[in-house]
Amino acid sequence: MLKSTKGKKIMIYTIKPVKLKERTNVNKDELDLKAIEKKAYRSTFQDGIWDIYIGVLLLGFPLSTIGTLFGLGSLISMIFIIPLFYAIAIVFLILGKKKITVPRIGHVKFGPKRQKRKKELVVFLSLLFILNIVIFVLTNLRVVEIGGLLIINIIIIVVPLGIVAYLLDFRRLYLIDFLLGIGIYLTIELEDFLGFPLSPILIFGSIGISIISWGVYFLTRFFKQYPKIEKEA
Amino acid sequence: MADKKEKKKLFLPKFSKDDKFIHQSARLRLISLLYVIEEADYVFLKNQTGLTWGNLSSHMEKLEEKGYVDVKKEFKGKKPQTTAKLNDVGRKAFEEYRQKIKMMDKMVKEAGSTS
Repeated sequence: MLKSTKGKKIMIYTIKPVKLKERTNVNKDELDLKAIEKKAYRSTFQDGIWDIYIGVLLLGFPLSTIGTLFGLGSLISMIFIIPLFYAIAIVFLILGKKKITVPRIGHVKFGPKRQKRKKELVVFLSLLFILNIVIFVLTNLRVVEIGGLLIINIIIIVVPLGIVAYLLDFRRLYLIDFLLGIGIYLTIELEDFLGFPLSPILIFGSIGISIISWGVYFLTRFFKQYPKIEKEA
Repeated sequence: MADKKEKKKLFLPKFSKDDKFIHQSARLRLISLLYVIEEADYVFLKNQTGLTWGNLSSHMEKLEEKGYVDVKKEFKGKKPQTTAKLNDVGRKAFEEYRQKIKMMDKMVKEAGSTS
């Protein structure tokens, strides 16, 4: 503000309490680097492909028990059907990310912190795989008795999946983990009432189908939101 | 007069030409994004910033000319892919700019709480 008294010019500085955006024309969100990074990272999960992948994995479990209805042993049934579903799921995940996600949202390499987490995830999953095999062999050979079925499933499925959700920073995975925990509990509790294999078929089947359904919903929304870009302009 | 100058020095961070260059909204969005990731192609940058192809390539060209980003053009199969990465010069310039904006923000807040 400029004032004139007795021919002298005096500058008076006033600072109005205005928001940063008004004073500097910078939206604070544009400088919130954590939020920018999170938004960019989480956009890679908008496609629902991880959800469908996990849903197919879960569906493999109840479907593997169907073999028992046709007189196959539950172990043989599991050995053939579960790996088949694992294979279908992993092929879908890899091809889906390569052929659907990247051409639409683009290619990105995240910073060192995310890369470190990715490495930790690989190490964790490898250890988990070994642990699962050890527990599977030891409990089937009855070398070790590890509490009840509920405890084993919590140790080998629910807790690790929570850690995977944390390492992946994939929030929907916490919900999937929660559903899985409930599913395991209900399968065991309702086994006397529904019988085997109806109990896992009904409970895990519904959970798997629900997860696949919302995955398909996210995928459809993703197709609409991000049309395929054939050529960079 | 000297007192006034002192006041100015205390309160207002000096914005250089480079800061004004970064300050442009589209470039600021691009630099902020490139700062938090290692590298990304133009498709990703376009989707995240909401810029049009024309805007994106013109601002990326300016950033490249300024020496802030390294741009790599290659072919993935038959499709061209342009990848950008914020280099050390760009990182440093953005950090300085950010520091000044933070100071400005702090100053505005302090003024708001005292008035």
